[in-house]
Amino acid sequence: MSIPARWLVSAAAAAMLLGCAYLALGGLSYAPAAAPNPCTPRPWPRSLGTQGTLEQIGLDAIGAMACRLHAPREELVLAIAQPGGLHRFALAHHLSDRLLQNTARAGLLEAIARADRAGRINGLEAFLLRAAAENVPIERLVQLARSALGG
Amino acid sequence: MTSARARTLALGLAVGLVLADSSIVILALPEVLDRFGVGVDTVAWVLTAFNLVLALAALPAAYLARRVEPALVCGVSLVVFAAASAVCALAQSIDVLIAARAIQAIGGAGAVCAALELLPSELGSERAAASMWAAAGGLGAAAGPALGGVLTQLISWRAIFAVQAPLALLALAGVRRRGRAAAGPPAGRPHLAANLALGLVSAALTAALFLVVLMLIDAWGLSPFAAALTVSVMPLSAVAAAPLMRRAPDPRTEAAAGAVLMAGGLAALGLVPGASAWWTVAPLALIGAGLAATLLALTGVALHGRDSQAIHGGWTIAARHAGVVLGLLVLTAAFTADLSHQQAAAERTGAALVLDSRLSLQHKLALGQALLQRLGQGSQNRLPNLAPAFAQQRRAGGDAGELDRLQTAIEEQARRAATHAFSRSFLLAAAAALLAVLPIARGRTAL
Repeated sequence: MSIPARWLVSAAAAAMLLGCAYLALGGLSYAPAAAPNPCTPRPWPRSLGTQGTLEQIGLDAIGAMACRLHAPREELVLAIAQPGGLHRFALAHHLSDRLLQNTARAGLLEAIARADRAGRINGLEAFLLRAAAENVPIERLVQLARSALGG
Repeated sequence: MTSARARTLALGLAVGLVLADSSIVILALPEVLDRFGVGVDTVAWVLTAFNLVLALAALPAAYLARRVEPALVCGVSLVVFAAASAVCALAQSIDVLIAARAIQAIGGAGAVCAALELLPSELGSERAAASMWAAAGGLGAAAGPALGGVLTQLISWRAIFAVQAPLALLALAGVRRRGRAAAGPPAGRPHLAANLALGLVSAALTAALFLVVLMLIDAWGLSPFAAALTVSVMPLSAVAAAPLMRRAPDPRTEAAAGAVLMAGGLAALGLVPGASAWWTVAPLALIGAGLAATLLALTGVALHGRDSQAIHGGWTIAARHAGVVLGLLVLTAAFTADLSHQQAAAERTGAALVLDSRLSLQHKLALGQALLQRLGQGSQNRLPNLAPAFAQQRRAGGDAGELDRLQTAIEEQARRAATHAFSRSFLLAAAAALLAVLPIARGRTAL
């Protein structure tokens, strides 16, 4: 090997050694963790009051809605919590207002059914909540969710 | 009477001072941003204006130094540089600061190019003068951020410019009248390969200087002093590695090996496995070693056997600072886009951590609202201080243990996102450094 080639190989070896060491130490994965899959149901907290149960159903509904929209649950929570956030979310995901409303209603019904199956609400409560989810204008429900999220 | 050695040192000071100015304000930019209440894109012009005007003014200044007496051009330029530095130090608006930086660059261009005409008569040979000139410039560029950081931390960002004014006047000691330069043959063509490689290496160097400082201060929360101490690894390594790199068999090998080392260091910065200044030490040392070799070798090649030195020196300055401006524009745009993407990712991860935590729903929602407020209050590119949002929930009776765990986890995710936002820019810079090997290799016959 010629002397210039030896110099270049030495420099490349030093550069590669450092790069490989950082890669081996996890350099490529030093990034924020990916948000969890919204389609994976979260376990319910052990004990919740009535208010807590309703709020948990709300959060579950947002998760179910995010799953149907193939969007991160957290992005949807942030969109609901911030003024104008839901409109930006719809634009970013190319969603019509109608689709967003239908998905929100379906997500809410799914969360109520899950709470019912988990025994967190009784049959009467499930019936009343389902009736509300099917009949209350979805804008009103979003307003309620926004005020609960502090937006 | 001033001795030749003192005059040489004074001229070296002038060159180092001007070329340090292309990067000296980097560590002061967050403070300048706060002082004038402007955005990052505006404050970046404090840096860009200087480098852009220096790139544009270098050749006209070199021709002027050739046509008029170089000592006169150097003297007047140093006075202009000193006066503009004083205006920078006293600037009461960002517009005045940027305009004064542009005038500083005009003075700087004249001083640097004329110094190259004056140095041979002090050192006895054009080759020694070119080496001295390139070394002073390289050291100035590498040491700039560290010096600026120390002054910003100890006094204020204005101190950077206040110190420059008397130093520029001190450098006048190196100016000795020697009459007009002999009217030699018209300047030959510039060394395209060496100048192109210089431009690419300088674009990459911008990343090492500008982005490392942003990462250390804004993403990792280091003080300007601690950041200055960290980036001082680069000039120290440049000085330490210079004797070894000079043993390369020829300038082409020296320049190519240096560019490869720089690329390796920059790529490693794009792959740091944690948010600690210690992770930057080895990459900065590698970049410093590469920088010493590449800038010296390429500048030497660009000037070797060419007449006149000032004009070809002007070409190297134009190429280097055009590279810096290009690096600033491309890498800052890439970084800004990545930062926005990573901020969104960190917000989602933070929201997931809060939603899935063991806090009561009431505290989850209150914490989420407080965190959103903190994020809204944060500066455009600085990591927001999230601690008050958690302290508020502790006072409100939230589960202290869970809040501690959550704070640690969310702050770690924020640091990861902020660090990851720099990765692509560092890798792009590494590619630019590696690309510099091409003109170096292609210019084999000339180099």
